[in-house]
Amino acid sequence: MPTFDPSTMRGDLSSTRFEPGPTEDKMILSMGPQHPSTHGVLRIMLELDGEYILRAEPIIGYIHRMHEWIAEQKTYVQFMPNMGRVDYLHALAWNWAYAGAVERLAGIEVPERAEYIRVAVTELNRISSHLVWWGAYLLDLGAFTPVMYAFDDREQILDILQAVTGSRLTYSYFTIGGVYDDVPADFRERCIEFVKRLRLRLPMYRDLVTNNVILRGRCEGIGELSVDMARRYGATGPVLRGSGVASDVRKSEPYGVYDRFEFRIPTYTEGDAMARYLVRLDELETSCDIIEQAVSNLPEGPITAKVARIFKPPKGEACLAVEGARGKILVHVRSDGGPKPYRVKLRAPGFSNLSLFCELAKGTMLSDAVSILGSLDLVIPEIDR
Amino acid sequence: MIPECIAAMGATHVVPMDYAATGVVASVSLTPDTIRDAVAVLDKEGYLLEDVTASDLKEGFEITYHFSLFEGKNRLVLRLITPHDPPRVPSISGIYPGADWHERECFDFFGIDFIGHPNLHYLLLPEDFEGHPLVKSEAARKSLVDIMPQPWLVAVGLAEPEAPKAEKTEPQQATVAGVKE
Repeated sequence: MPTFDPSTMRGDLSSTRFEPGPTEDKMILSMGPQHPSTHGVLRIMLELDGEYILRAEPIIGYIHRMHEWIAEQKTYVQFMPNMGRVDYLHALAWNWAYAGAVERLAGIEVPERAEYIRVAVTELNRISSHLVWWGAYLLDLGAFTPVMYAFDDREQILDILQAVTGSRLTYSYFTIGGVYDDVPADFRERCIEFVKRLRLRLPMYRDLVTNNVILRGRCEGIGELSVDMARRYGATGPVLRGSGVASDVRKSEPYGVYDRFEFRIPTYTEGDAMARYLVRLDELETSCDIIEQAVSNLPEGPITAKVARIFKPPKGEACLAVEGARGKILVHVRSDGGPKPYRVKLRAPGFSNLSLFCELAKGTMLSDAVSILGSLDLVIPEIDR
Repeated sequence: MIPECIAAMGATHVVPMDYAATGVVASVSLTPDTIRDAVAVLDKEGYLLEDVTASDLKEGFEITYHFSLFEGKNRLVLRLITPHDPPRVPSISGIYPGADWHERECFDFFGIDFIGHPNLHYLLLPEDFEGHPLVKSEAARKSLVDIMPQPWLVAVGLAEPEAPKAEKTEPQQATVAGVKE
């Protein structure tokens, strides 16, 4: 019977780049791809000195699906369902980014009612995304109960969105030129009711969780990100706003009808994990404000523009930036005038946000690295695409 | 709308674009020799790196870099063309470390060699994968003339300006082709 000899184990390309060092203290640790705190299938190679991180390298691509290649094989409309599967937590923002980029390319005017519906459902989806992040982050840090409350709230949103879109997670609700179907008659009431409910719950979350001394100890002063570093890495969304930059695509280059809404952009200047946490919690309230305005001003009218059945946009290129729950989603579409896109590029905010982890994790303790990873709000399917 | 710093970038062509129709305010054509200096100019101006990507065209691989400021509608696209064989471009990851992963992604999909990149190997594809999935066959490749809007082609000298009508059109005027009236 052959005996097990560890020196014959070969490892893969990523692990061979991490060799045990000259000193005995140095340890190589492969964390993931099946580690509970790496949210799915992210793997991190770590070089540790005791509990401190000397070098960290995220290894991604375990659920790479090559959406950009698929786009070139499908017609513009056929590619739409893929958008619900890039980022499963904020699928409607990706719906919007792709549909909007194609509309821009073809010069399609979206009817007002569809624009307001888009705003309402995207913001509902943003709240559900932040709630999942909130529950999962606290799970990472060892608090089990909050995720139950978060999922309870999220369940209400999923019920509303199921009535509107027909699905609970991987939405494909937007069409080129509008939305697929009109909202049900009780949509407005249900949204108002939900907003009322969430506003009652948020103070409870603040008292029981946000002000908890253990949570603060795990988040405050951890993973401090400077504005300049965020800019060079292309960090966007709550990660950037946690470093004190009031940059939000909904305000800086408003798409759809966002320029008609009144809302503030929450920012915190500390740049640590706690600041990113607080930005997201404040954004729950911001989204509530937007939903209220959207459903109370919902105009009557058609829900989709007239678009040719065999849809061929003119040759050219266009892109649209959308504020997703994790940051700036950017979809580029290039057309040669045919029925299929010539090239589609999906810029995922999580991709840039994760790439700065190598630098952010250097010198921190392993347990703090888990807190940093969680505070970046990673959705691996979006990063791997 | 075109920022002044573009003058210092050594661009071969700067074409103002219609933001409403394309999402960018200017298209800056560069060569592989000038890209690093041009990106350094944007870094000094405080631009944020959005992405680095490529397209496979008849002329070669077109590499596009998107930059924007924190506030406002000011997206710039920097573009350059590198031949299919060998596709070589200087890496900008020394200036913008965030470009590291974007360039590795371009290497995955197109096999473009970014000179000076510290760590150029597969990022998203498995390490034993052969080939580069977004490289098109010779027959499927389109030329810039086929995929770029007419005003841009005129501005960079790839097409003759048409009758006086063409002069008035802004880059990529929102034509409603493909939409049934």
